[in-house]
Amino acid sequence: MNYQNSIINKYKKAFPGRTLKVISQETGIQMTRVFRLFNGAEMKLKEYEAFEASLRKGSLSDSTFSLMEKFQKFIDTASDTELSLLEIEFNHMLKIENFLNHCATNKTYQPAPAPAS
Amino acid sequence: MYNFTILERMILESINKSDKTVDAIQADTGVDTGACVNVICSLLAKNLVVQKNNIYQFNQSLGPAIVAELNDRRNLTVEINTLVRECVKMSLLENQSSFKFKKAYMNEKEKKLLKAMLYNLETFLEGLKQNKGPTKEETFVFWGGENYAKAINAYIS
Repeated sequence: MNYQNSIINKYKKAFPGRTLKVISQETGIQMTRVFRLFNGAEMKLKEYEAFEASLRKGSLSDSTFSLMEKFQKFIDTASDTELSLLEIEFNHMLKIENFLNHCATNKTYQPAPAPAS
Repeated sequence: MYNFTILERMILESINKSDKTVDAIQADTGVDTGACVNVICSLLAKNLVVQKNNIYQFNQSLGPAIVAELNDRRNLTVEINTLVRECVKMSLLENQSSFKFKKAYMNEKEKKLLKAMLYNLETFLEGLKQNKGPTKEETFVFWGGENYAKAINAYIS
């Protein structure tokens, strides 16, 4: 399945029964164009992004979606140094989260007694 | 890059002071035992520590590549940022007094005076290096200053 079919199927699954008119309003793509896309016309990059944004919006809370949009804008404009620091910062947070989240599985950890010196 | 975290650094510092069991590391750092175990696993996987009879030791023969990763400037920036940010948060959001911030115009004489006082502070802290005590009881101190416009311009450039 190509990306286009994949995203259209995801969209239909996320919003079953949504009319062409509503899809058009939601994505900003003309209604006749939406019809053609749903019938196999090749999607342009902007249309792909519009469907993807609509899907994200549907799956996230308003505040999270708004935050994601701000992140997107920041990523588009930030310098390489800033992006590199941001990536390291995220990696740190995720790594520490991982260290802490796996604690539950280690609750039963019983270290063997240290050998007598 | 390895992305060495503050948690790993604290535990590595603890092991570097003396070889320890997990319980001793927990007691020295105050980090939850489960998290300690996870961090130690990560350090073992990276060969930063070695295990002998349930005692963890700092690997004294680290390769230059891993040493370079541990001293990576960007990683250090994020580590220090994390600690300082927590102090700022505790002070401004939770009304604790772990962070002080002042901005003032200084003439050349006053700048020299400040420089001398900071030098004294640094000398005092250098003198404390030999002190021994639990890692969790250590206090990190930060100081410094920068020209206002220079910092703003660096941020917006």
